[in-house]
Amino acid sequence: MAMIHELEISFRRESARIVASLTRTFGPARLALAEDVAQETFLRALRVWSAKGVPPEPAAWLHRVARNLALDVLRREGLYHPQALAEHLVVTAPEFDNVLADDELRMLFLCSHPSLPVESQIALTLNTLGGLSAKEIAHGLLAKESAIAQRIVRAKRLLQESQATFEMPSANELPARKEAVLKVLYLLFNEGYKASHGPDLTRDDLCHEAILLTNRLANHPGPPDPAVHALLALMLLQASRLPTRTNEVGELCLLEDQDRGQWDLDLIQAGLRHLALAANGDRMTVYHCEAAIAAAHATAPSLTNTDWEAVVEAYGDLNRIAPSPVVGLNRAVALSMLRGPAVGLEEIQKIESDPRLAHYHLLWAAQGSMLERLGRYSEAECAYGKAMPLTQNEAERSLLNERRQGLRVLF
Amino acid sequence: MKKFILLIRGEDKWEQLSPAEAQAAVEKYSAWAKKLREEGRLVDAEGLAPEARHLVPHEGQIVVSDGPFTETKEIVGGYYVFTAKDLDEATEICRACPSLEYGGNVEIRPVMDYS
Repeated sequence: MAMIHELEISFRRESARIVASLTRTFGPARLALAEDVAQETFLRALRVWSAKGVPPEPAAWLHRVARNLALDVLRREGLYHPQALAEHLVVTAPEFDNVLADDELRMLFLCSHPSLPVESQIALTLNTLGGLSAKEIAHGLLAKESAIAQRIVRAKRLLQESQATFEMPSANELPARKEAVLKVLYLLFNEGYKASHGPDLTRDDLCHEAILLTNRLANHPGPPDPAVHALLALMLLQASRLPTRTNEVGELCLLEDQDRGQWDLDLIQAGLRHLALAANGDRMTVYHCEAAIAAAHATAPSLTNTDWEAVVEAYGDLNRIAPSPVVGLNRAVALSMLRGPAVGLEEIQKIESDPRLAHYHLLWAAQGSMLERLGRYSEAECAYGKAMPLTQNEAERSLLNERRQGLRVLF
Repeated sequence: MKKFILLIRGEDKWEQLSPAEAQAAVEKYSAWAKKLREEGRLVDAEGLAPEARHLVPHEGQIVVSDGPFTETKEIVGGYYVFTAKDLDEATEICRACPSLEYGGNVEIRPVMDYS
C-alpha cells in the first residue's frame, strides 16, 4: 500500500498552472483543449488517489499526467515530434517552477488581451488563473452562472479569432498591456471587496485571488513597476480590514464602527512596504492615490485621529488624474473631517447638481451626516430619506434607515 | 474476518467538479480510506483506467473489440478489498463510501474462502 500523504496543494492553483503550461503547448487558440486536458488530469487524480491515497508529490504527479495526456493529443494529431517531447521533459524543478510562473504571467496578459471586453477579461482571468468554475465566479460576482459561462465562451472565441500569441508583449506594447492587466486585477479585487458582506467566503476569495496574481506580477524579474506595487499596496491595505467589515450578524460595519484592533497588522505592514516601493518612480497612478488613502486609514488609531490632511490631498491628486464627481464627493467628506461639516457641505454643494451623481445614494447619505453634525436634524432626515431608495444594497438601506429613525427623536 | 470486494460504478458527478470541488472530493475519499486503513481492514484498492478491451467467442473465433459496451453508469471505475465480520458489517462500512455522493453506486461481494 502506498504511503498516504496529506493534501498540501491547492487544486485551484495547480489547475491554473497546468492550463497556463498547456496553453504554451497548444497555443491560445486552443485554450479549451488545454482546459479539457487539465480536467482529465484531475479526473485521473480522483480515480487513482481515491484508491491509492495521495502520492508523495501530488503537484508533480498532476503535472506529469497532464504532460503525458498533452503528448497523447499531439501524437494523435500527428504533431508530435521528438523536439516537442524534449521541450516538455527537460523542464525539472526548480527551473520548472520558474517556467510555470512565466507561463502564468503570459496567461495573465492573454486574459486581458485587447480583443476582449473588460467583463470577459475578468471572467476569463478568474476561470483560467483562479481555477474557478463559472458557477463559483457567478457566486462571487453576484451574476448569473449562464451569463458568466457565456462571457468565458465568448472570450475564448475572440482569442481564437484575434490570433493572439502566448508571448509576453513587446517592449513598446508592454506599458499599455500592463495597464490593462492592472485594471482587471483592480476590478477583480473591488468586485470581491464591495460585495464582501454576509457569511459568504467566496467573495473574500476573489480579493485573495487578486492579491495573489498582483503579487506574482510584482515579483516578476525585470525592472520594477511602481504602479504594480501601488496596486498591491492598495489591495493589502484594504484587505487588512476585510474581517471587520461586517458584524456578527453579517451587517455592513462602517469604518467608524470597526474594531481597529482586529485589523490584520501583517497585511498593513506588507501594504506599507509595497507603498514605499511604489514611490520609486515619477509617474503617479490612481493606484498610488487610492493606496495613500487606504494607508492613512489603516494606520490611524481612530476615525478622528486620522491624517485627514493626507486623505484630502490624495483625493485631490486622484481627482486630477481621473476626474470624477464621486472622487469629489469623497474629498468633501474628508474635508469635513479636517475642517468641519460646514466646509464639507459647502464643497458638496459645488458638485451636487452633477448629473452623474443624480442616482448616487452616498451623495445624500454624506449630506445627511454633515447636516446631522451641524444640528440641522430635519434637513438631515430629508437627505437620508432621499438616499434610501437609491441603494440596492439591503445592508446599506437598513443602516440609513437606522440613522433616520435615530434623528426623529432629536427634533 | 472475511474478505469483501467493493466495486464502484458510475461516479458521473466527478466530471462537473471545479478544481476546488475535486480537491474536496479527494479529501473525502482519503478520510474514508484512512479509516479503513487505520482499522487494519484495507487489503487492496485500485482505480481503473477507462480504456478497455472486450474478448468474446464468436463462431469458434475470439472477437476482440475496444471498450466496454455498457453504459457509463455500469463501468467499474475502481475497487477496494477490505475485511469485515459479515456482509452486514461490510454494508455498514460502505454506507459512508464517498462514491455515493458523486452519483456512484457500489456493489459489495464477499470473496469466497473455503480454506
